[in-house]
Formats: sequence, structure tokens, C-alpha cells
Amino acid sequence: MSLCDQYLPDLSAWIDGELKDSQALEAHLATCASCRARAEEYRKLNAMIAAVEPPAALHRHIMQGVDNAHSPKAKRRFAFGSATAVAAAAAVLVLAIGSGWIPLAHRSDPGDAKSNTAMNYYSMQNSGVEAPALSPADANSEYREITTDVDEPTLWSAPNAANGVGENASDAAIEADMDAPAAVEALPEDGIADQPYGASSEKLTEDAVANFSIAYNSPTPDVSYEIVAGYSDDAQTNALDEDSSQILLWYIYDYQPDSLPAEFVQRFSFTPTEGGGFCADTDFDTLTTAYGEYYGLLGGDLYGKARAEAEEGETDQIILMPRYALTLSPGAEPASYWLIEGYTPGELPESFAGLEFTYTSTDFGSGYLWVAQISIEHFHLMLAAHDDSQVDGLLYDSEDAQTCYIILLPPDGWTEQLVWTLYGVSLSDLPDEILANCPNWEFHEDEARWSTTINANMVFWLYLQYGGQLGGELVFSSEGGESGTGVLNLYP
Amino acid sequence: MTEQERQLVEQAAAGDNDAFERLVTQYEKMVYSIAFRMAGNEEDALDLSQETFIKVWKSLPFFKFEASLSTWVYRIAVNVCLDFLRQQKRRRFTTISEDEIRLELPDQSQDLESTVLDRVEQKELIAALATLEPEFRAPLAMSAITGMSYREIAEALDIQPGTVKSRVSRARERLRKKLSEHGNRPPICASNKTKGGEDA
Repeated sequence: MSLCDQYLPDLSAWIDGELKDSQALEAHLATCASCRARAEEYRKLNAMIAAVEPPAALHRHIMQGVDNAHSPKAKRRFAFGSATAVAAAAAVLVLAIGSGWIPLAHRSDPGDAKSNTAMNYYSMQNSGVEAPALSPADANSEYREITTDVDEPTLWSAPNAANGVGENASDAAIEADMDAPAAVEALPEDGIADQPYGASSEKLTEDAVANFSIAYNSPTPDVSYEIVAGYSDDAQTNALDEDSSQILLWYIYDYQPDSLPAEFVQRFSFTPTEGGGFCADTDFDTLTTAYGEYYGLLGGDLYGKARAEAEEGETDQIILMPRYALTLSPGAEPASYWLIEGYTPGELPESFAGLEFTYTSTDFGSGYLWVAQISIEHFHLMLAAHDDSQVDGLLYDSEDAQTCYIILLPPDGWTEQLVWTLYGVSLSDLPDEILANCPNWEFHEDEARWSTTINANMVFWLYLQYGGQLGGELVFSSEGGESGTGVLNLYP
Repeated sequence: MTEQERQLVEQAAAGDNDAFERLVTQYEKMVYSIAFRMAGNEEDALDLSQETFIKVWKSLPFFKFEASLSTWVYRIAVNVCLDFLRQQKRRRFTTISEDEIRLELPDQSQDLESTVLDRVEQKELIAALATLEPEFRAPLAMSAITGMSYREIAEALDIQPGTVKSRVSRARERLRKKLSEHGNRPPICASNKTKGGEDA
């Protein structure tokens, strides 16, 4: 490495004004025309990179996207339904919670599948071949059991509009059920972890019992169950429509405000109530966004009671949402399905250990994969807990069947170039696709092995494509080469 | 963060669309520029910009005012881009072909020669950027476009400042070599004085 090469990182930092001690570099620059020229090139490069002229449609495109993203939800939250539903002038608050559109059989097996992870895993367990290392978190989980006791996989269909899910289907179900709201007790026991309260619940204040009626429609097959709350004050019918101020009072009873996540504590100012609870002013969007961020991960209940500005601008008319309960309990309302294939749940980071995966067949993709119910919010929260690049899978949103691809990558700090070594095989055994993408194989006669350098993304992609049927040893080398190496055993 | 900006954020977080639109106006050019340099084409850059601001909109209520708003927005932008590129990599293992590269419209006030040169420069720059791994492209783009400090970039990308320095340096040098291979070394291709020239 030449003297100039040694100065390269500092030269780059110097260009960016990030070099604290620049004396040595500047002394070198004073005597080195080549480095001065390079510095100038770097500056030009910066200018070229920064020279981007956005298209005229940029702003409109962004705002259209934002509007589309939040308008449907706003309507959904405040979907005031037919006036005949609860009362002539009742406002109907609909919050679709939970999603039962596709019942999944619990635990099933690989059956005759030939090209899926679980099958290979199963085979390995029974053939004495060393299985890939599982994370400690999966020690007691079901996918370990599946290797010795398996059932027929169930057919799982990717959710889409044709399945009768989504807003239209949900709204239709709501409409259909409005005239005959069922009792709270009709909600399934295995539905919401903490049931909403009935009108006679001791947890309701006298004020709420006296002023509000509560009705819950029964769960609708294949859609979800909804909470429909109504009130009978004609004057407030439209108080909480999309354009209202959406001012709410948020009551909590069963826990102290400081047991909430820090974001809640910072954003909401709670004051004690006469009933022994706490109350905070908020607005519906803020509250539900906050709730969404922690969807299913908080214990306890939230209670909301709304008040909205009357036309005269008064704000003291308490209306709507009779002790409307939002349940924040782990796993309470899985709204999406997370599909993984090509590897087992046991290979997921430890923080995912709480998820229950079902091995099932599908009518798409490779035909067999693992499925877990999970809310999108829960999913992203779990991802946020660690490096999301280590997670892979498809995330199906119950509303629009969005997919979420996240590629497996080596841990942070590792280079992307890996050494892949194969023992005891001929290159002709490899699929053409692999040979096309990894052409530079080298044979080592002394150890009778083939090796190549391969990009991490490529190898993981291949790994997924071939469902763990690739063999050999994959070695990561650390960035800079000073730390150790890691080994990934691909399935024999 | 100025008091005015703080108020704007609070209003936007409370659902004030006008306030949010002002925030969009404030950051859209930078976000688009990052997206364009990361994705390499206008169509994807538009979509990535849109996705970025949708995420910003959804996340605003949880903005903690601990980091600067710009760092936070750019962090979201670059992560949206990185996610996108990972998806792209997984879906197809081909680099961006030159035919796919769309060129931005040059400044209309420039003369024809510099216009053509700019187009050539930009085309080759896009092709050269596409050869960099996203993890190298991101810090370089953030540094060059936004002027963020290495510490801010490190925070946004969740890596060490030293890693930012190393990646920016390596990315720059690789780009420089790549452009030189194409005979488009920045100072050489710029024949007019305003674009500089050989420094030797």
C-alpha cells in the first residue's frame, strides 16, 4: 500500500469536513499533486451525486400516497353506519379487531413434500445427519416436535379480496349484524384475551352506565369481530366524524400511567380520577396510532370516552364511546400471517420464540411453509428489537395481502463475500442456476473440496430457493479480517 | 430544531394535513435525491419517496424530538431504500442495465454541450453507483446529498461513525475508479470551466 493509499480514508473524511486532525494530511497534500487531484475529483463526485432534479410530479405523488394511506383507515375508524343500527341517531364506532379469516389447523406435517425445509429437517433428524443448529429459544417449541410426530399439512390460502376479507367484506358483515347486536358474552373465549366489558361491568363508572348503551355484534366467520358502540344523543351524531377534532379522554383503571411505555408517558398527561383511575386528554388518531405501535404487546386495558366540540365550540359535551375498551394483550389480535419457507422457525432470532408456527401446505409458492399469526404492528415491533436483516419471510396483511420481503444477511460487521466450500460432490451435481451465478469454483485436491467466493445475498437466496438442499460449509470472514469466522452449515 | 419546526411536527402529528404537507415540502427534494441515488431510476425514486413520507406520517406521533427531524426523516428514507434494494436483489440478480437508467432532465439554462456532458456524466454515475453495494451507496449518498455528519449518518444507519468513514471512503474511491474506467473521470469530462478540470 502506497503512502497515498494510506491517506485515502482521511482524504475522504477531510472532503466532508470530518477529519479532526488534518495536519498530517494537509502536509502530504502540499507535496502530492496526485492526492490534490484526487481530492478535487472527490469534490466533483459529491457535486455530481447531489445534482438531482426531482420531477415536477414529486410533491403531488407523495401527497397522493399519504392521503391514500390514511384516508381508508380514518374512514374505518369512524365508520358511521346505518342509523337504524343502534338508534335513530346513533353513531357507530367500528374498530375491526382480530382477524379470523382463515382458520389454521394447529400443527401439521410435511407429508410427502420433497422440497421443503421441514421435510429435510425431518429427514435429518431421522437419518442421523447433523441438523442445523437451532437457537436456544426453540428448545421447547413445536417445530422440534414436528420431527417425530407430524400430521397432514393443512391447505392455506393467501388472503386476498376474493377471500371475503378486507374492508368491504368487513363492512358488509357489520351492516348485516347491526340490527341484532349480540351480547358481549357471545364473543369467543379464544378471541380477545381480555374481553370487553358489558354494560353492567363494575369497571364502568356510573356516568358511563347511565349515559351510554353498549352493543357488540357477534363475531362474523371469516372476517373478524367488531365492537360497535352506540349512544343515543341525537345532537352528537356527527360529533366524531372524520373532520371532527377527535378529542378524547383516555381513562385507564387497572394500572398506573407510568407502567405504560415511555412514549405514552411523554405524550399523555394523566390526572387521577375520582374512580381511582387516570385520565388523559388525547385524540383518536394519536391514541390509536400509539396503540397500533404496541399492538398486542401491552398488558391491561385502555378505555376511551370521547368528547367533541359542539358546533358552538363548546367542549364539555361528553359523548360516544361508552367505556370503549381497547384490549392490549399479548397476541390478542393477530391480523396478519407471516410465512416463512426455506428455513425453520428455529433459525429465527430468539425474540421470535413466542410465535407459534404451523407447518402447512399452500396453494402458492413452493407449496409448503411455516405460518404464524401475527399483527403487522407486532411483527415490526419484533423486527425493531434486533437486526431485521436477519429475518425473512412473507408478511400477509389481512387487508391487502401485502408482502414483506426481508432478506437474510450475515450479522452486522461481516463482509458480504463468503467462502462456500463443498465436500464430496461434483460441480455437475449443482443446479445450473448456481453454476451460472457462482462460476468461479476452485478445486483443492489436497482436501478434495470445491470452494468459491459468493455474495451473501446470493447464497442466502440460493439457500432459500433450494429449501435447504444445498450442502457444504459457508464461512463469513470479518470486516478487516481481525476477528474470527463464523460457519453456516447448509443442509446436506 | 427550531421552535417553529417543533410546532410544525406537533401539528402534523396531531393530524394537521397542512402542517404535514409543509414538512413534506421541506424534505421532499432531499428524500427524492437519496432515493434516486439509491434506486438509480426516477420511477422507483418516486415510489420510495412516497413510501418514506407515508412512514413519516405514520410515525410522527412517536417522534421524540431527541434527534433532529432531518436525520430522522433521512433515516426512514434510506431504510426504505435499503429494504427496497434487498427485495430487488432477491428478486433478480442482475445489475441495472443502462437501458433501464433514466436520466434526469438537465438544467434548461445550460448550453447544449454541457447538457450533453451532464447527461453522460449522470448516466455513467448512475451505472457506477449501481455497482456499489447498497450499504456503501447509502452513506455516500447521505453525505453528498444532505451534508449530514458522519455521526448523524451512523445514527441513521445504525452503524459506527468509523464504519461510515470507511464506507464513504471506499465507495468514493470505487466510484472514482469506475468512472475513470469509462473515461468519465469527473474533472476530465467536465470541459467547461464551471465544471472544473484537471487539477494537475
